[in-house]
Amino acid sequence: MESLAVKQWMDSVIKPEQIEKYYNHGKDFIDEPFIQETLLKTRQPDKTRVREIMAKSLELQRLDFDETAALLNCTDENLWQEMYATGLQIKHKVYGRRIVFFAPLYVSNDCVNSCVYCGFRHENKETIRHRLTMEELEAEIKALVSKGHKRLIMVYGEHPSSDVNYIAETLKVAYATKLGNGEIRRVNVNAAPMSIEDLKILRDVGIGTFQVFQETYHHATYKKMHPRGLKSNMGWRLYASHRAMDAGVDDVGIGALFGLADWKFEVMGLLAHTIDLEEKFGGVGPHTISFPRMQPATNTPFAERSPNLVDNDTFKKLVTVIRLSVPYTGMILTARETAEVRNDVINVGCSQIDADSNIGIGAYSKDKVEHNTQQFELGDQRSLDEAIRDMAKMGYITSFCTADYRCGRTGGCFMGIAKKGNIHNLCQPNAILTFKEYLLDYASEKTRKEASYLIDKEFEALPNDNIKQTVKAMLDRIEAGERDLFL
Amino acid sequence: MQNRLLSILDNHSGQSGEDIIPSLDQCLKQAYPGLQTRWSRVYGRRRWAHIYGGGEIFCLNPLRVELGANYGLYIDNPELIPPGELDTIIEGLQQALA
Repeated sequence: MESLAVKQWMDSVIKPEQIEKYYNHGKDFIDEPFIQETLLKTRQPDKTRVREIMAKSLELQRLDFDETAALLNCTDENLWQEMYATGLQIKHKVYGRRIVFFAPLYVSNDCVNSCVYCGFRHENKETIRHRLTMEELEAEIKALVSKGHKRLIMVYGEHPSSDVNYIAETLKVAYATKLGNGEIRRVNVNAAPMSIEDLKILRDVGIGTFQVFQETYHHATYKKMHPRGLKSNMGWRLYASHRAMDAGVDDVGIGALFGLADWKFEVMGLLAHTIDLEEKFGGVGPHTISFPRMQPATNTPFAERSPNLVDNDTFKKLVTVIRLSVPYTGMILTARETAEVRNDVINVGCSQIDADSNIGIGAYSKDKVEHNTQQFELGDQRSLDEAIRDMAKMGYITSFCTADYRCGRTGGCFMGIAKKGNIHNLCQPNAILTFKEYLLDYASEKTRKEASYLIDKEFEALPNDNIKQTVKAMLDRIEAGERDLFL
Repeated sequence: MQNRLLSILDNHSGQSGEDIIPSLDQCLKQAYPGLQTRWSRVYGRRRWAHIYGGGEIFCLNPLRVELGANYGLYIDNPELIPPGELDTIIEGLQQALA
């Protein structure tokens, strides 16, 4: 039984008028009959049609429902190979050869919800609950900074003990903590849906991206997976990003948890979400799209026996279709996946990954894995240094760039540049500059030896002499001890 | 220029920075045709959230101007403004958006 105080808090969270105001003719943006019908109508797409759609993606145009459905329904393995290659081409066109690295930081795991697939669900007595104190948080931040991280996604359970005021305090601590040359420069937040008023509190303390995963866009599945708690209100979650945009948090991240419902439906749901945001906010859709696959979790049998689990081959396909469908949006591939899967799937167009992740509460500073404070099990245990080296072997330069949101390139401004395919003009120089910092301050000797070539390679690939001169001067300043230089 | 900026403030008395900035921007661009600007609302210690203007997509030496605690401005081509006038303009903007 929840305490009275928790129940009172729960009663105050959801504001129905902040759901209904976004409806289209009284309905949410997931038109299930339309999605199912579109998927049915586009079965067996011919080669010419699929190639036309790929060409549209390559021009960085967002696909429509029927186009995405046609790609999802493709059964020709040769065409899939072409789609994989197109995904990578698009990624290079928009973001260049850089991969942004970040770290997840789980801050609290008290939760009022009962998600069937989640180790943090309220009823799971085998999960040890904890909420970081500000001192513990500072220790966690220092542990992450000491590895070289600059960007975080901080994750919170939905509970009055980790309400918006607590989250705001943790953001302040994260930004204020410094260690040597290092500091966290951008803090993104993955938390429960909030009201516009609460989101303004996070905006005011300098949140980066506000990320809420819908988990599933399929109404009946959503209801089944979220039987109780605040999360049982699907509409409140569907419009979490809309409210963030209205609150002035103009970088939002969306995602679906693959394994709950049919994977093709979920991709269509992500597209519907993107389109609805773009229609309501002047062309500005999600800053990032995530596509986590359900993973085993402590005392959570459903996570391993769902009928909709996605195999590796299908996972690669769905990531590819997302890349082609929304060509200009960042795509996040997390350490839920094994190193082997990540090294493969990153090549179809992902732009961000995490590394050296430890998702236990307070686990970075203890430097050990604590399964009973984790939401699920991780697949990739590589250290940051090792992952960076692996990326370098594949020709990708690691970026810790956080420039855009610190110089006004957020929301529509960022999206306008990305949609024109010009953001890489900024991403590549900033990747070079932040990677140089990493090599000087944090890299192992082995990584310095094996990955430094990327600085020269990417420098030579810069588009003109003016840019080269500017970047060279900045690199010299970094060598001389300055930090945090960006374009 | 400073007087023109301050007169805009008089005309928009009681309005927020977000409401005033388009007029300030227009005033600057009338005085210095071709000026590229990007205005931000500053949140917390880091976030410069875009509120107005675009600026060039790729500029190597933009001028970053902090306009008090709440607003910021990037000028991509500050060389269009004579150096003496630039300081006066920044002072005027800081007063307008304080």
